[in-house]
Parts: sequence; structure tokens; C-alpha cells
Amino acid sequence: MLVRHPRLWRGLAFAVPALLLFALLVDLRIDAQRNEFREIADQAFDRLSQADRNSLAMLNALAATYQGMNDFDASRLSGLAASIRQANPGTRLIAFAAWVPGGEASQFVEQMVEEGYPTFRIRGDGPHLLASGREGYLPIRFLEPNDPRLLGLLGGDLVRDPADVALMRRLIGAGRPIILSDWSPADRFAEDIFYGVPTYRGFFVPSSRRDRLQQVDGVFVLSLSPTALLAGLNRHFPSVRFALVRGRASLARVDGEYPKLSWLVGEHALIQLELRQPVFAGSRVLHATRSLAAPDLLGLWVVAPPVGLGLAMLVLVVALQNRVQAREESRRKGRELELERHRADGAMRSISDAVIMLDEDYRVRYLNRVAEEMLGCTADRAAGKPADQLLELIDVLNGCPLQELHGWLERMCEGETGPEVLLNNHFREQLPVNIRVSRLEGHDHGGLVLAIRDTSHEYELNARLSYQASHDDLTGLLNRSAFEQRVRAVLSQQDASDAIHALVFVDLDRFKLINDTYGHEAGDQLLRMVTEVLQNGLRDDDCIGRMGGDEFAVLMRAPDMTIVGELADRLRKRLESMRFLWSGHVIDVHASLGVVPVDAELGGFDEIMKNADMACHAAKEAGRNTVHVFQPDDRVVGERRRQVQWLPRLQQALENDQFVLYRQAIWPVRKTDGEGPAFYEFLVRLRDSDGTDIAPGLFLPAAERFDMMRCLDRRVIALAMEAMGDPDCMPPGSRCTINLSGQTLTDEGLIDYIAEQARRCEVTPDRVCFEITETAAITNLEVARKLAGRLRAMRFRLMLDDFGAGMSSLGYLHNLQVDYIKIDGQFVRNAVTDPLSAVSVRMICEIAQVLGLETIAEMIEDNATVLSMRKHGVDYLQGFDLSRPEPVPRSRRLRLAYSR
Amino acid sequence: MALLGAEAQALPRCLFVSSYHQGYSWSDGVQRGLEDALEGKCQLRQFDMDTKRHKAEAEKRAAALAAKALIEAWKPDVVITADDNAARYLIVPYYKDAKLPFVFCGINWSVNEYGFPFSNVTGMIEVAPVRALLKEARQLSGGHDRFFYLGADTATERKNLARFRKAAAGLGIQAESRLVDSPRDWLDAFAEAQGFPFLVLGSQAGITGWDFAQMRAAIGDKARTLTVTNHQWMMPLAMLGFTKLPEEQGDWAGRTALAILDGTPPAEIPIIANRRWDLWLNSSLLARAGIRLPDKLSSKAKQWQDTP
Repeated sequence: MLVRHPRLWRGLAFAVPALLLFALLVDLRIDAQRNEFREIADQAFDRLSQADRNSLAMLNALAATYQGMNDFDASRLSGLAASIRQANPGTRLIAFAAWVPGGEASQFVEQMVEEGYPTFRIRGDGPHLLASGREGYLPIRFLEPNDPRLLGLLGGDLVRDPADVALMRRLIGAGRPIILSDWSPADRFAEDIFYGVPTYRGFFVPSSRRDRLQQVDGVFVLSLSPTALLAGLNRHFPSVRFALVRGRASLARVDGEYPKLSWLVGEHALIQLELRQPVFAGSRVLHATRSLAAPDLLGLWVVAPPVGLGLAMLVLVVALQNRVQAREESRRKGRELELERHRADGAMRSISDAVIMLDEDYRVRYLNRVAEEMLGCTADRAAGKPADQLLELIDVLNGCPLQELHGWLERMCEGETGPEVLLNNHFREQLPVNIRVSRLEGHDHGGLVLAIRDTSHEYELNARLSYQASHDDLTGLLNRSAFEQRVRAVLSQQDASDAIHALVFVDLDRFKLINDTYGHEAGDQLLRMVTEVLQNGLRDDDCIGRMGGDEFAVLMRAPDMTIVGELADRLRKRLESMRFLWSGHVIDVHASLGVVPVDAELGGFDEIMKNADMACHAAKEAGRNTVHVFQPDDRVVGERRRQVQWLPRLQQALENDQFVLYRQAIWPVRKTDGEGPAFYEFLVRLRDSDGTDIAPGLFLPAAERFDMMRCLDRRVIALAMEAMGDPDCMPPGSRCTINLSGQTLTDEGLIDYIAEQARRCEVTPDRVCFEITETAAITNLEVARKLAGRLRAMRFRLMLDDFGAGMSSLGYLHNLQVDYIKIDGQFVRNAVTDPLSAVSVRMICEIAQVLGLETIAEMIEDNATVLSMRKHGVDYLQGFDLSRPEPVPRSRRLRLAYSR
Repeated sequence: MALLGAEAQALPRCLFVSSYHQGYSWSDGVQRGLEDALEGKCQLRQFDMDTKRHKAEAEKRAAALAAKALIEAWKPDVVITADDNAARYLIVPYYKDAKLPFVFCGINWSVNEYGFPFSNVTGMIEVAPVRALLKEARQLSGGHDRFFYLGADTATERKNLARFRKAAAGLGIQAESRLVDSPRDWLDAFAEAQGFPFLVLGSQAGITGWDFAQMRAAIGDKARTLTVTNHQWMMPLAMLGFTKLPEEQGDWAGRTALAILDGTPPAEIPIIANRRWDLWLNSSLLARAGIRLPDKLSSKAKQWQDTP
């Protein structure tokens, strides 16, 4: 409660006692003020009473003095009256009115004039009957002080109206001083308090009232000025305001209410004390008031103690609140700590790392759940055990247990990188772990925290990644990079023995055809099968890798290259004996193998691989399914080397326009007289610097190998179009065929280039037929199909060259939509002697007829073949026996160029 | 000083016109009383008509005109005059019922001859305690009913003498008198008076060549009869004095002037007489004359001391 509304309670703690004490002190203060006020009022009353008594006494004395002397003249009276005025503050005047019998008024006035009062007159409506048988006046003949402002009273009759008659008769009859209530000699003195005392003839006051009325001589009058009296009172008691008012019983003092207290009576007054007391024989009421403003009541001693008490209570409550708050805060923090502990425990339990907390003596203080499972020990049982009893760490590098675990932990804590370690778990398994050690900062007793992460999964993952990085996904063999590492390792090691290392390069023959024919899945399966066959044929220490596509390499160690050759041939035979069954088809698999020594003296890895590749190509060129063992003076390999040397020459020839066209006529199989060739096939030659033309067989392999066929084909197309557009080169209306290599099929700008050249040379498309080899078309079947479609759309013709060599399905013929089929020359050349070739030719012709295609038989070298082809239904013939290739005359452009 | 000057300028102006001159004891006493009453309450300026020493009628009128010229030039708010000549030659001819208020003092016995009261005039008449003096002198001289009056031959003294005669008549006393113009005549008259029961000395003012020291020396031991006076300044030559107080005249005139300045019309302030007198005795002369006063009187009266 105290803490829920702290400000409220603090305010109450301050305000309530402060207000109570304040009220008490204010009440005491008021009480004190009332007492003080009462004392002052009583003193004022006493002063007025004293003035009253003094006035009576002095007036009585004056009268007695006057009474007792017979020569009491004005000078003496003046001195005496002045003394009385001085002795009795508040006395405004002392007057003497002489009794003037009614018949002596004139005489009295004359006497006054004679004495120096020339303007003296008796003023009044008298004479009045003041006693039985005695009428007269009581004119004032003497005044003290001799103030010009008062002198107007001279001559005034004390009896101003009939009511005064009784008063004067009472006064004269009394023979002693009395207060002349409600009487004044003039209106302007109406507020004064007048006393009167009569004087009589003779030295003594007559004893009887009757005699006093008969023997009256005059009357002394004394007045007290309320203004002067109040000024004196206010001067002496400045804190109280006094007033004298006429009044009597109604203003009498009432016990129990005296002095009266009123609240908020003025603009600035908080309270007003009021006292009324009759004075001057009840003719006046002394009205005393005292207004007390806040500062009068709220002095320092009134304000300070409540504030002090309030502050003290405030401090007490604040201290109490702080204590309660501190207790609640402590409880709240305890709950939060407990919650945090639960959370931390939950977090510890939720994290995958094992967490072990050690005290400063390296004894176990805490294990989380993972640590419990990892170490096979509960936290309770582990608590207090030395760390080196619980943790058995093995150095990965040497396989030995870690010595000096404590020192190792401290070094790890300092950031030192330790060796990879294994942890013996409770199953006695060695887990690869990563241990991070940190110090319990700020903890009272220090200690260490070990975060142990089981890195088995990462370890396996790394191993798998490493494996994947070094192995081929499809076959599981080493990939090229890993294999290279092995070869380089061999090259860098010096083998003291006589054994040699060799590399066997395996390239499957016509794998692409299989892959394209039966699909990649078949190709992949074939590769896996080949891998298995190869692995089964290898020795334990042989190392095999997949170099890419259908290429494999085996690193062997053998006494000499002969044995390596034998081992390679053994592999070839294994592959040859392999039968790959796919979708009901039995596919023969064979490969060409190149063998090269792995010897640092013969070059590095790249050189070795180049040699192996050339050896493998040599094996392929040797008819495939063979093994070619590289020799330093190897001819075939030397040829391959020469191909490499063709590269700069080809580039130079393209740049210098050194290629020229030859043409070979293609004749109808049943030629009529005078009929010219149906086509001319343009053939390319490289004109050497000595003017000789180099056959394409020498440079085309190099061009194909070094991917220069696109450029070369474009140059042939340009030359052919120029020739076809030049009647001096080609007979008008003649048709031609232009060969497109497999590389050119993928030339995306080819169609536009052909169209541009035809337009440039004004050659109609129907005069040009493009030849694509069956192998190239099959290899790039989809590209070939699109190309064929676009060429036909432009009305160019298309011919499938070397048809039959691929031994492929004939289904693609329909998709390619070719116009002509040029039968593979091997079939044509052997058709006369080889029945299979003859059947093949006949079957091809029959298929062509079904598809509406025309066939061309090339490599016609003799008349028997002409007859055979004619028999099989071939439409056109081409060969040395009919027309040898001849140079095409230079076109107009070339002529102009050479003429310059 | 400038501030004080400014304050003085803001005070009302009070002009005091003395019938006589400074150095004349009566006039000096009136002046003291006046100055005490007015001090700090108005600007007081004094004009002395000096008619005691310049008694010619023309001189008195000229002095009155000079006073009038001063009044018109200085424009006082109230004018206070002392003694008869100022009333006679200044107030009556020039300021009867005028707006300018006048307060007179020192006019002997009566104002009837001036026609007062005027609406703008009030004042205090100078009255001597003649009756008391005569009664005391007769009693001291053995109850004789005659006396000798000696004074200057001036209008004032004539009025005084008349008052004495009237008062004496009331008491049944006969008066012989001599009003003189010279010290010698005065001494002769003094010698003559030694044959009377008591001598009343009037004022010597107006006697040409008067010198108190010489006159005191001249009378020497010749004074045998009781010599009384109403004038304090005559005490060197008198044995008993019932003297008026000139300060009372000046004080009252001053307070009345202030009342007028405070708004009280002069007509509302009655003309009154002075009422104070004092009792003096000259022990030296009494001793020389062999006169012994009753203890009641000698112990009450103030002792006159001749200035050396």
C-alpha cells in the first residue's frame, strides 16, 4: 500500500501531521493573541478608567480650590487649569460657567467687556429655572486652553436646550463632579466626554441639595477628547485599534465570548479579535479590535515546527517506503533472478553445446543437459569432481591424451588456439569436439566455462565436402583436380626403385553418339558401368579418375612401359567385352587408350596430359578400340603435334585471304548428253606461300581441333557466293553445295551471314545446297533441325553428308527435312565387294525414296561402282572417276584484289 | 538649501507690524511669543513702526503708510499688529472689513476707540491686573485709600491712568497722578509721591532721555513709600510688580493667526483680554525703604535682580 501510491502517502505523511500541528500551533497562537489582546484591552480600559477617575478627581480639586479662595482670578485659574490639562492627557478643555441670575445678565456682560472681552455675549435661550425661584444663566466665561478655536464657546450657556436644565439641576444638586452624559457646549464637541462640577458661594459645598441649588456660583466643565484618548491608546498599543462609541447595555461584555473572534473579516485580515467594554460610567463603550493577518499568525515558530514535523514524517515514510520498496525490489529481483535462472537453465538446456562450469579449482560446478548426455554423467554426480577426471581429451595430431588439462584450459581461455581434440564420451567413442573456454568474469569465486560442441557432423560434412570436391559425382572416381594432385605428387616424389609411373588415358569411342541416341541417362549409366569395369580391372595401388565426359585416366606404377601397355590393353579388352544393355538395345562399348609415362623429365602434368590426349587420339585414328603407347619419337603423336603447329598458319591464312575454292562436279546418275553437272561441291584449299594448294586433310583437323571451323566455313561461304554470283566463275544457273562443319551449326549468326552474302552476290537460294555431316547433325540434332528449318524457309537446300557412318536411327531424317542424302563413301566404295555396304546403300536409297529425298553417292572411283549405285537407285554420283576437284576461277573481287 | 528655500516659499506669509521698535522690552516680549508660536509654520516678516521714538502724528501716519506699502508689495496672508498705534494708524484707516485678516495684540484695555470688531480683525486686549495690584498695595500700605500714579505723558499711559482711576474708585481709593515728559519731571514727581501711601509706576515709554541706570541712581535711597507697577521693565524702580506677560500677547496672536490661516474666520474668534500676570518684588528697594512684605507674598513673588 505504501509503495503502490508513494506520492500520496508521502503527501499524507507530510501534510496530515503538519496540518494537525499547524492547526494546533495556530490555535495556540490565536489563544496567545487573544490573551495578549485581552491584556491590552484591559490596559486600555484601565487607562480610560484612570482618565475617567483623574478627570473627576482633578475637576473636583479645581472646584474645591476655587471654592476655597475668594480672589481666584483668571490668571490663577488659567495656571491651574493648564496644569490639570497637562496632568490628564486627553483633556480638551476646562471651562468655567458663572451663575448669572436672570436679572444680572447685562451687568455681567458689561463686566466682561470691561475686563477685556468687548465682544462677550451670553448666548442661550435662558434664563432657565434651575432651582425653585432661581432663574439664570450659566455662560462660559473662562476657557482653558486659551485656544482661538475654542474661544467661540465663551458666553455660551451650558443650558442649550430644556433637556439640559434637568442635567444642570442634577449636577448642581449633586454637589460633586458627574459625567454630563449626552451633553456638549457645541455640536462640534458632541463626541467629547464632559464632566461637570458645581461651585457654590462660600468656602464649602452646601450640605443640602436645596441649598446647593440656591447657592450655586458656577460650574466647572472638563472635557476629554476621544480622539486624543484613542490616539494615546493607539500610540501605546499599536497592534490594537480602539474606538469609543456611544452605547450601553447592548454592547456589554459577554462572558465566554470575550474577546470575540471572527474569521476572514477583511481583505487582508485572517481573523479579528474584538472587545467591547463600557467606560466613562457607561456613557461610552471602548471598542477594541485587532486584525490578525496571516503573517501575525504564521510566524516562523508556527510554520517551522509543522514543516519540520511534516518533513520528519516524510523522511520516516520515505525511509519506510524505501525499506518496503527495497524488500519488494529484493523479492522482485529474487523472482527475476529465479526466472532468469530458469531461463538460463532452459537456455543451457536448449543450446546444443555442452556447457561445463568449473570453479577456480577446476572442479565441476555445473553441467547442462547436453554435457550430461555427452559425458554420461549427471550434473549432481559430476559436481565437485576434478575436470581432468571428467574430461578425457585426445590430441588429434598424435592420438595421445592431452597432458596438463588445466594449463591447456587456461591457454585456451587466453585465446590460444589449441590442437584439434577428440573427446572420449561415455560410450568410449572419440568425438571430434570444439572447445571454447571463457572465464567467469565478475564471479565471486572465478572459474571457467567450457562450451563443448560436438563437431562430428561438421567433421563428416567436411569429409563429404572434401570427398565431393575431389571426386566425381557420377562415378565416384577422383575428379580431374584430385587426380592432378595425385599425379603432381608422383612427379614431385623421387622413387628410388626402378619402377616407373604411367598414365593411361581412356576415351570411350562414340560415346557421344550413344549419349545423344539413348539419352543422358543412358550415357550416365554407361559411364558408371565403365567405371565399375575399369575399377575391377585395376590393381589396388592403381589410381583412377574421371577427366570429364567419357574420358578417364589411370595412374599406374609398373616396372616399365611395356607392362603398362599390357595393363592398358587388359583394360581395353575388359571394356570391349562389356555389353551395355539399355532399353532393349545391346550396345557395344569400346574405348581408345593412350599411355604416357609420368616422368618429370618429360614435362609437368599439363604436358603429360597433352601427350596422353594425343596418344589417345592416335589410338582413335588407328581405328578406335586400340591402345597407343606414347613414345618420345611417336609418329602419330608427332602428327598431332604438327596439328598444333597449324594453328598460327590457319590464323594467318584467314587474315590474308589465303583460302581458295575448288569444285567437284556431282552428276546425275543417268546423265543425258550435254547435260552438265547437277551440282558443284565447293572444296577448300589453303594456298601456301609457294603457290601450292594444301589439301584440307592437313589443316581441317587442326581447324576443328582449335575451333576455327566457324571462321573457315564463313570464308568458304563468302567465296562460294562470290563464285556463284560471278558467271565467269560458275556457269549461270548452276547449283552448288557448301559444307558446314559441326562447329558452324552452333554459329548463331550463320543464317544472317548466309543471307547477307547471297544478297551481296545476288545468288538465289535455290542454287545453293548446304551439306551437313550426319555425325554433326546428330551431335547437334536440335540445332541442326532449327538450322535446316530456317535454311529451307529461305529456300536454300540441305544435304546430309556421310550418311550411314553414324549407324544411327533414321528417325531424325524426317525432323531434319533435308533435301538430299549423301551416302557415306565407305559404303559406296565397298558396295561392290561388301554385301553389307551394298545393303546399306540400298537401304539408304529406299529410305530416301520413302522420304522423297534424293541420294548422292560419293567416292565413285570406278565404273563398277557407278553401276552398283545406279542399281541401288542412287540419284547422283560424285567421285574421281567422274570429275576430279578443280580450282574455281577467281571471282571478280579476287581478280581485282590480285591485280592490285 | 534650495529645498529649505522652496519649503519656506510654500509657507503662508505672516507680517508682524510692531508699533514700536526692537529693543523696547514690551515689544521684544511680544515678538518672542509671536516667533515661538509661528516658528516653522509661516514666513514671518517684521515691520517696526517705531512710534515710541517718533511720536509725531505725521511720522506715525508715514510709518503706517510704509507698513501698508509693504503689505501691498509682500502680500501677506495674515497681518499681526502689536500695540495701539498699529491699530490706530494702519488697521482702522486702511483695512476695516478688508479681506486681509488682522490679529492685533497689546491694545490697552479697550478697543472701543477703534470701532472693533471688524469682520477681518480679532485680537487680544492688554489688560493689567489693576484691581489686584491696588488691593494688594492698599493692604501692604496699611489700608490707606489714596495713591500716586506716575507715568509718561503718552496716550497709553493716559489710558492706563484712567483704568487705575476707575479700578481705584471701585475699591474706594483716590488717585493722584503725574504724567511727565522728562526724567527730571519724573524724578520730581517721584519725590512728590513719597508722601503717598503707595506709588504706582506707569510706563516710562515716551520720556525722552530716560536711562534706567541714571534714574535708579537718582532715586538712590529716596524711595520710602511702597512703589508698585504693572510693567515688568519698571521693576528696577519699583518694589512690587503685578506684571503683564508680553509673550502671552505674542503667543496668542500667533496661534490666532495660524487658526485664521487654517480657515477660521477672524469674526468667529472673539476679542479677548490677556489673563496672565506675574508677581515680582525688588528686595533691594524694599530693604532700603525698610518695608517688609508678608511671608506669603515674599515667598511667592519672583525676585528682581538688577543687571549690573
